[in-house]
Amino acid sequence: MCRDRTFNKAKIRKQSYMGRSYKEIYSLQSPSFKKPIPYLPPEIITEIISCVNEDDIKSLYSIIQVNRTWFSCSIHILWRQPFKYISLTGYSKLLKVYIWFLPEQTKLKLQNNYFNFDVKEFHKKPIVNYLNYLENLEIEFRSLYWAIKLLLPTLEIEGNDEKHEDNKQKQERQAQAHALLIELFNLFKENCPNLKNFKMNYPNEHLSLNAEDLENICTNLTDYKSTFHRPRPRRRRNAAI
Amino acid sequence: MTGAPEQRNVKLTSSEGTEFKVERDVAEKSVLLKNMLEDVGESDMAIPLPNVTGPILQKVIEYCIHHRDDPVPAHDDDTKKTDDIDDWDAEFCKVDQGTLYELILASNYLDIKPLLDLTCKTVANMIKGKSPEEIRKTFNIANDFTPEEEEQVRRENEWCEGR
Repeated sequence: MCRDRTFNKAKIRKQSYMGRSYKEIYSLQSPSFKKPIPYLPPEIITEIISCVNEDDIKSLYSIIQVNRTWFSCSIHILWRQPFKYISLTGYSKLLKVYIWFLPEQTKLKLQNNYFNFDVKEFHKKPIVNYLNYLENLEIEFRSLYWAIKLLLPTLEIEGNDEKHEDNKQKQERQAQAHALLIELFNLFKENCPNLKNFKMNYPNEHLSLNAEDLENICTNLTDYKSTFHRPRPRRRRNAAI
Repeated sequence: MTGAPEQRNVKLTSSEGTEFKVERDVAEKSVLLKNMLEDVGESDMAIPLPNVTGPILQKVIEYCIHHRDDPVPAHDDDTKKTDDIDDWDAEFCKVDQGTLYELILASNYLDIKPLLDLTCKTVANMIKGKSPEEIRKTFNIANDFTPEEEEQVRRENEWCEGR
C-alpha cells in the first residue's frame, strides 16, 4: 500500500517533470500533423536536438526533414532568430516565406503600388505558422536591402539617358524596399507573439530596440530613410572609372 | 555535507528481477530514486525498476559510481556543448546503438540529468553534418511525410542552405 502510494507520487512528479516538454511539443505541432512514430519519444528527440548548436543550421535543416516528429521537435529552433546565421541569398529566400504571411490586402496594395511580382509565387500557404517562433529579430540592414533587391524582378523603366535610368531605377528600388520593409515590420509586430528583441544593424551604428521600440520604428520608419541606401565601395570605384 | 559514515545500501530490481545493491548516494544520482527514498524513508524493500533491464541498470550504476562525487548540475542551459565530453564518458558511450537508446530511456526514466545529457550529446554528434536520409538510416526512422509535405518543408527552409 505504502509503496503503491510512493510510486504514484513518483509517477506524478515524473509526469510534471516531463509535462513541460510535452506541452512544448504539442504546441509546436500543426493540426495537420498526426501522431508521432513511436521509435524514440518526442521528449527524447527534443533532448537530442537541443544538443545540436543553434548556429549549425545545416544540420538543423536536415533534422527538420527527417519526419513529422523530428520536424515538430526542431522547427522552432531554426525560426527563433533566423536572420542571425544566414547568407545573403538566404535572406532573400527567408523574406519570401515571410511575405507569404502578409495579409492579402497588403499584398494587393504592394502589388498595385510598387511591385509587379509573380502573384502565384507570393500567395503560398506555409506548412506551419513560422511567425509564432520568432523571438529575436536581428537584422543587418544592408543585407536586408540587398536581399529585397534580389527578391524583386528587375523593373523595366523607360528612359533615354543611361545614367538617368540608373538613378530612377535606384529610386524605385528604394521605394520598393521601403514599402516592403514597413509591411514586414508591421507583420512581425502584430503577429509574432514571442518576439522579444528587435535589433537593426545599420552600416555605421547599432540600434538596440525592444518590442516597444519596434512600434516606433514602424510608424517612424521614414526617419531612417537617409541611412537606407549607401553606395558600396565597389560601386564608388566603378563610378570613378 | 554532514559526512555521515553510515551509508545504507539501496536494493534495486531490474525488469528481469535481478537485484542490485548500491550505496544510497549512488542511487540518489537518480532524482526519481532520491524522491522515492525520501518518501519511503528507511526500508529494506527492493525498489523495482520495471522499465530498466539488468545490463542497462548495470551500466547506469557504473556511471553513477564514477560520477558519485560530481556536484549537482546547475541549470541545464550551460551544459549543452557537445565537445566537452571527457575521455571516461566518451569511452562509456562506446556501445551499440540499441544500448545507447536504452541508456537514454533509462536516464530519462530515472531522471539522471547528466547521463541524459551525455547520451543525447553522443547521439547529437552522430547527427551532425548528415543528410536527412542518412539520419533516417542511422537511427532507423521511417519518413512519414507525404512527398508534397517533404517538398514544402524543404522549400520553405531552403534559406538554411549555402551558408
